[in-house]
Amino acid sequence: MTNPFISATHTKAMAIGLFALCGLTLASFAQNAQRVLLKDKDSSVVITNYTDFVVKRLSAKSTRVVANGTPLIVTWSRDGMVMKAASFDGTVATPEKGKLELETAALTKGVEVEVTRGTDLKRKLELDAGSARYVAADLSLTLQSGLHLVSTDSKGLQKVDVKGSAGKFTLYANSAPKTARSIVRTGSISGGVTFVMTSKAADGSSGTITATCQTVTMDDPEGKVTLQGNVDITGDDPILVGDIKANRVEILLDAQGTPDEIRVFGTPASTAVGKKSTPPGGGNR
Amino acid sequence: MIACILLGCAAPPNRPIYADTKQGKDKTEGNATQSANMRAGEARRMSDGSSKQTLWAIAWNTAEVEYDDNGDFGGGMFEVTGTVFRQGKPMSGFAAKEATATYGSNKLSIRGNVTITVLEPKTTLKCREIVWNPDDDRYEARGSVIVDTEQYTLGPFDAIYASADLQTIGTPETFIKQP
Repeated sequence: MTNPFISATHTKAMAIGLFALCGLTLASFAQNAQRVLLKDKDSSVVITNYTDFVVKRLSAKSTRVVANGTPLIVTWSRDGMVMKAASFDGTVATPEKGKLELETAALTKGVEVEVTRGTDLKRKLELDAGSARYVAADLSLTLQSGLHLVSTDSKGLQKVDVKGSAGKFTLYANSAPKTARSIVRTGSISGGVTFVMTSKAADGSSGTITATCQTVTMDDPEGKVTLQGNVDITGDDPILVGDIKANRVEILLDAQGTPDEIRVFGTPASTAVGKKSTPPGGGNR
Repeated sequence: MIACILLGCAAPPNRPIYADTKQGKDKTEGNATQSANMRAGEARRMSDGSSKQTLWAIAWNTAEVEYDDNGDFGGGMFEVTGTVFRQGKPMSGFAAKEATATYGSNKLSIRGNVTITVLEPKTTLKCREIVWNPDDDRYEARGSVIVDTEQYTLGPFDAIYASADLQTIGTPETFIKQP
């Protein structure tokens, strides 16, 4: 005969025990994830979650770090950057009268780079790739072996999702000009590109531009996104009135980063309608 | 052959000799050994061969050592400070509660609040225990190892290897594999 009271008590005890075990496991995991390899005095550069490493002083100002992790996590606060990868080979350096900086980073296997900028409107850039190289001197990021870029902002005004085989980007510095529409100053993605841009206009309306092409280039100072090579565009963005097939398409952005005008070049160019007239010397719309 | 210079104030031994004889050479063959409890002494381990370069030098407040006519010695030293050398040049200094030299070995084991210091560029390694292994040209540190420079801090780690000048630090396997 089963005593329901005892059974319930046992079940409760087991549940508490299991809960405690899970808690301990999670705490242990969290503690392991906090394994610090390198941290500078004001925690601007922090490298954690290593499995093995070698740190070598190259000079009084410069140090090379070669490390593996699951994944290794490199946080570079000054540039609002977090990098994750199975392997890292990079240098940290102290410029004259300066604080420690991440100088270069070569990342391989399962690379994730997240860049967050801004105060009122926070922008986030997320990049996944098989390998990546970052050079702080020119704020350049080169990614290879399958690239996925997602750019979003805290107000949901714009989302850009691009996939390709490789890409190269130049980022704005953390103190980007107020006119910047994105974290990416200039960039290009190539190799079987899929491009999705979702925008919300000031009047609250939103739309999406979906495209496939060979190459996408982004030029934020010019406010222009260029799609090239077998461009095929669909979507419901107000700037579109139908599908587009062309060799080259330029999407011009307004100050907020919303598509404002679309230009179609080359043959075949089947459909394109923009809000504004094509400037003199423009393409064959 | 290992050569050692012992300098200190010998006192009649009134405690057991601390030397590790298991890994050391058989002291019953060859030179006769002497043992001593010593105060405020210092010693220097020299390399084999004709070059006779200094491998490490140590000074202690008290020690229990035994040594032979060839200058080899082993034993425990307490409240120690010293210097490790690479190719005869001083690389880093150390301070700790105690150290043990093994008879017939070049290694020096250092324990208790260990601090290794390099002056240029300023670098400090702290840990519970460390072995200076001159034959492999490396420190082998264990127990809450932290390396501090003017720019950054490394660790804490359970166990790492480090070069004599603390300019290269790594987990043991990766340190050995490095080009």
